[in-house]
Amino acid sequence: MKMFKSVSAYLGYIKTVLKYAVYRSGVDVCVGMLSATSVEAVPSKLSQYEALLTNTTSKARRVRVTLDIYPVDNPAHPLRHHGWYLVEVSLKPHSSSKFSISYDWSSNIQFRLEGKEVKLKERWSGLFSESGLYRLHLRMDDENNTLKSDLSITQRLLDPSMENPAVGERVSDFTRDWDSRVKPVQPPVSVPLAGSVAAKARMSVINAIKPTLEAATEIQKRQVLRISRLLERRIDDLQNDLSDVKSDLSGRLIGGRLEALGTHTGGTNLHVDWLAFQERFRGSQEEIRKKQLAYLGYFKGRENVVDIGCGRGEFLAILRDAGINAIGVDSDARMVEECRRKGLNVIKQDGVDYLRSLEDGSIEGIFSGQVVEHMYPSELIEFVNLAARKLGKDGVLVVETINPECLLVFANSFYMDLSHIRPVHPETLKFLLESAGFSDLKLSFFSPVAESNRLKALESGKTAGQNADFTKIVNENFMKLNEVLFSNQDYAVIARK
Amino acid sequence: MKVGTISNNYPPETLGGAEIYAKALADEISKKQEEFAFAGRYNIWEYMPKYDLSVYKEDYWVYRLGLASMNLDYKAVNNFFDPVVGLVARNIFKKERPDVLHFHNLAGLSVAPLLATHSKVKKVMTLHDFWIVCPKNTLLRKDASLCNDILKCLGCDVRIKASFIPVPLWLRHKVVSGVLKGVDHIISPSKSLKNIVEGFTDLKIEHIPNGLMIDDYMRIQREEQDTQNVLMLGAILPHKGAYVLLDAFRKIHLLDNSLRLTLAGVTSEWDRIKNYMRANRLEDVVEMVGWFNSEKKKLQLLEKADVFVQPSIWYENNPLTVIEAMASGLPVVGSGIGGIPEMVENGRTGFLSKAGDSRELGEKILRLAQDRRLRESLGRAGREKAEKTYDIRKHASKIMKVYESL
Repeated sequence: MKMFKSVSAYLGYIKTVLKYAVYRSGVDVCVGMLSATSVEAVPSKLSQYEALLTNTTSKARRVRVTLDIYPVDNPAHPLRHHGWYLVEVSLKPHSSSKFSISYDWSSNIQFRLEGKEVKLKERWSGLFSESGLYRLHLRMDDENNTLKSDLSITQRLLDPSMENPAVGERVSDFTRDWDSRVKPVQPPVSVPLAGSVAAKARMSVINAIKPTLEAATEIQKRQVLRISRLLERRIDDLQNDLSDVKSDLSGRLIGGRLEALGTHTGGTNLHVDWLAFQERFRGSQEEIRKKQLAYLGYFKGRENVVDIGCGRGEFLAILRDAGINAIGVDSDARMVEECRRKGLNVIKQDGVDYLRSLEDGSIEGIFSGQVVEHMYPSELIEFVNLAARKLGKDGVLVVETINPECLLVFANSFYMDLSHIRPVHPETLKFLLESAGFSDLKLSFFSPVAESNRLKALESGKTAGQNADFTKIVNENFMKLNEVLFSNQDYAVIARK
Repeated sequence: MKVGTISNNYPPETLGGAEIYAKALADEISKKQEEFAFAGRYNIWEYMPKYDLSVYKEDYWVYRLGLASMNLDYKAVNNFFDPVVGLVARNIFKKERPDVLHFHNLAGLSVAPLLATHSKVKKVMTLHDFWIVCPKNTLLRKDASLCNDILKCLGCDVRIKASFIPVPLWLRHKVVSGVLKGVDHIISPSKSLKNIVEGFTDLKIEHIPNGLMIDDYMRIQREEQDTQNVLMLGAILPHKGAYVLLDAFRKIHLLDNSLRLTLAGVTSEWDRIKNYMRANRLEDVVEMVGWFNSEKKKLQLLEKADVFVQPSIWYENNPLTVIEAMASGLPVVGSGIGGIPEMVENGRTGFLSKAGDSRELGEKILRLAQDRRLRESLGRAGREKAEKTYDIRKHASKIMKVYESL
């Protein structure tokens, strides 16, 4: 077979020799020259091509010129074919006419003969326009549809820009990496007409498997690209899901401190009506209002006051009545509902989170009544630090909480509320506030235990057989016990920056 | 008088400077004399040529014969003797009836056209490389030393093959030198080429430097820029010293980060050079322009450049790019090899460095890049020399005298 092939090549050569020796074939019409202005073409940018169409006869001739574009490696019609364009032109005798083509590699193509536009007669556009080497084949047929002459040039089509620039960047990085790793099969540079059989056999094997290999490589490359795109999309989806879950989770943690506590303790939500609870055990709103009126003095003449853990909004109402601009924050939905019903300005959020979202030094006062005992120590420290940072110059912070120095509260109010975490000792709170940068700290104790519940002093001389000294000692001891057991149930720290 | 120009290739498609010179000369001569050209046209994607003839007329008729990579393969017999080219040439010469035939590079077209006409037609030949004595054109051994025994091709592994019959190397030399005896006048553009070829053969060679249409280059005005651009124009190939230049540039761009290098021209080493650039982090400072077919682009590149480099490691003949650079007022750093020292006067129109010595090349480039006044004075001297020596009009009248003397 190989022998036959080289013999046929040899015979073809002899035929060519005879053709020129005996027939002296000349040229009547031909494509004289074809050239491109650049070695690379860019899609959607006009590329210029110049050709010279020659007529050496003494009569004007009408010819059909076809521009056929296909990739150099492995061209297959119609799948791997770019397209072809056909025009008809008439050529003047004894001259060459300048034939110019401008083409943007998609739809715009223009043919000009000696500067005059030539109308396109027929066209076929394929879909194949991947980047790579393309052959532009200019073919000339005469009136009888016999091939007169053809010329071709080779041009590299550059990468079209990708739709998604980020993905495109990554994909092109990837392909560059791929290109550097996969070495293309080199085309045979020289095949001598008669060489050693081994060399010819090697070449034939290479030639036989080359298209298959290249096609396989091409398919693999495309598959890898597709997979990488799919993976990228999947990663994006997962990231979106993850951020959804994160925000959901943090919403639950922040928005529902009490509910979260419920899940924390029992694994199920307790669904306690904390509003009703407060109504019953904390005392009526009127009582609380009376108690909290004492704090109004510290906030007089201030703007932007925040009530952290506003509850039913008693203090907010006091501030509103005094004409002070205030906003309340509470994480319980029913409390917020109650406040809004009263027409108060309340946000449903965790207090610490709300403070974090504010600008530094943007508020003038913070009130926080019966809240810090609901906080874990880490939260308390963060709350104190945030308060110091968010308060402006001369800002005031009032923190009211249960007084653990009074032991009655442990038998009474503290354990009544399931959401209480631990009481905060006044000295601890004072120290924390000082560390956070507050000065001018003032402790004030109030809500004393009702006189009827305290240990009563003995009246001297009333009981028989007792001297005054005994009565005095017993009364001093009662006083001490009263101090420890039945002193003030609440205290407040008033701190200024 | 009718003059025929025969060259292995012809613009707009070119393989090297020889074709550009051949066309420039033919264009100039066609203004006063009748002219035609016969050249090959190469389809490098195929091995077997189709031998299809195409013709076109711009100012004169140009005949292009369709050849293929077999004709450029120095191991194939068709590279130096192709009967079909001879037959086609005979047909053309019969039709055109020339008085003088001027042959340029014949690698690929083969010596057959020399035999295709009778002895009344005068034959002139311009040498552009060592093809008549060396199948590989360059006369360089693999270790870049100059060959001294053209019949043995030691260390080159050149074996010429034809279909079925292997042709020994001595036969090639016999055929080529036998055919060249029929040439009436041989011209060499450089003294170095003349001396080397005369040493191997008993041919009589006259030295006439190349000419070029330099008007466009003379008009170039250069403005001061933030960066100093170093330009290499021509085929970006190892024997043209591309890697020597890259090595030199790798060293000097660290010393002066305003330096930029432009490699403009056809290259088969694209991937290798890109890898080299990536490995040495030269991607930002080296630009590869690639092949282009536009005089305007060439002028733009020369206008943008500050220093021109010709770092060849083979015996360059009379490189046109150096003429272009000198005419556009650029100082030239060339290697002191072949015909380059005849063009670049060390210290007057540029600098010479030892061929293949990247350190010396780098030093010379750096010196020019950092001294604007030196650049300008060298460039001015280069312009004067180009106008005096390499103007195509003066050159064509010299060649016309040669034609008339025959």
